[in-house]
Amino acid sequence: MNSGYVKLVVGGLLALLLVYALKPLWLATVLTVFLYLLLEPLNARLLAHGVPRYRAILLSLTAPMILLVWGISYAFAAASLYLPELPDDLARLQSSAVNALQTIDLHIEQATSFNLHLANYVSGLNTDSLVFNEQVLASTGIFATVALNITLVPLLAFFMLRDFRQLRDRLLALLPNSQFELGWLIYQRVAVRMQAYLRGLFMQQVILGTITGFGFWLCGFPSPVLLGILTGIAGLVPYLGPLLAMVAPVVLLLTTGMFDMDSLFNAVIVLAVGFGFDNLVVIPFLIAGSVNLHPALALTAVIVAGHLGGIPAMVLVIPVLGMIRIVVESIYNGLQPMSRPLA
Amino acid sequence: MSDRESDVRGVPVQAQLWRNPFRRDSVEARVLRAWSESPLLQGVRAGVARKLVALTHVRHYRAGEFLFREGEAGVAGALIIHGQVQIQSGGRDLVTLSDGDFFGEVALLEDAPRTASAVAATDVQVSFLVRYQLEEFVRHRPRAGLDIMNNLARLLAGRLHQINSQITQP
Repeated sequence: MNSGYVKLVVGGLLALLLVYALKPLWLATVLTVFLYLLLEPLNARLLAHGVPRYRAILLSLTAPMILLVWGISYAFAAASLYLPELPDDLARLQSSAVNALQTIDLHIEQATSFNLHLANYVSGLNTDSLVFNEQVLASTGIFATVALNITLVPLLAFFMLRDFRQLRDRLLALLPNSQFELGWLIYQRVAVRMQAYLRGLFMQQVILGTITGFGFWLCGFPSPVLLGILTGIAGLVPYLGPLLAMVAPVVLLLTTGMFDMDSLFNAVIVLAVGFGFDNLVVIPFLIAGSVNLHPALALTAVIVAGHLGGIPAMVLVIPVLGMIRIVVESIYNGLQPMSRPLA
Repeated sequence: MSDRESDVRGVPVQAQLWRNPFRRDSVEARVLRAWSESPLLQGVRAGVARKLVALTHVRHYRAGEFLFREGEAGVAGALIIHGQVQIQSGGRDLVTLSDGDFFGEVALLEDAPRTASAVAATDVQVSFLVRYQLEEFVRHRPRAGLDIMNNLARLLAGRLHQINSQITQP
């Protein structure tokens, strides 16, 4: 085998090893890349206007930093207020869910003469054990990891904005002579497509969150802003996003004791309008063509990724598949003569 | 200029006599000098030129090794720092380029297949300027970018005139 390809394979394996080693920091890595892609055009514009490099980076990071500090302080304040009420809320959630399931059991029994006893599954749960055993410690660990990841994002974004180009140049300089230009070609195609995809995705989630948040506010749901944000996040999961987006409003309705068929219907209508607008207007204009995968392949990949790596894998699988497609196409086309044959 | 009058880097013998013999002529210095004298950076301020040259990639090729092949996707312009490069098309040798010659400039403008092959006639040291890096540079420094892109346009226009005159000559 050509030594260049051996180096590529070894490089690929090392990259996979690096990805595995960085697993605890996947959230920070993804958010940093996302932030870099969002801020890089602003940084470039400031540099073009003669702003010194460090000042341009710090100016670019100002708005996300303010947002991050505000978000963390808000989350801590909300958590310190809410945590003492958690056991009561869980008990209330359980009793609301039991009532709702009893109603559903009754409807099913009237229609089919079978009683599924769905309510018994929920009434048998001991909510105290959910709060007071080692699961609280486990969830504290998860929150600590998330907090660490989020805190690292501005720092990593700063270094990305400062050093990414030098790092990229050095890595691409490692390519053998025969793959030097091909490497740059692949890098550029992947970077352009991924920038378009991630910027489109960000705008898509902002629009989805705004529409659904406004809808929840109109329908009188509690915490419509939070519901809008959670819907936007759920919308990141391709195809299964609408189902995941139902979880937050239903749990909120059950917790606040407002759960009834009308509220459930309203939530479905709000989400249907939000995701309908998303699918019919936003996606065709902002996302379509940026990864260009067959829907059947994309759906299968999302389900398999969800089985293997949970929600993070479901979010990442589409851009990763898009990248693989570009790399394979570029290697194939890049090594083939594209113009006239030799005379 | 004959071979006796210049060394391999194209510096006149008389000029060499007056140079400090203890000064190290690093690869970076040679690359910077070669790019500064190239048609692409004519009239561009030294500080700006130095920043652009810092982005270029010096690569070494053995005699007979292809720098690029006709029909392949090209993304970089190339400047010969040291050595000779044969330009071939359709199996015919078109021209031999040497130190300080700039070629492959069409790739600095568009995603087009290479119109000819370049093969190292001797062991050769070449500095590549990648289009995407040039675009980033121009975006960050629009004034200097305008000068560089004007130079590139002049270079291409010159090549076009040369080809036109070759075609129209009886």
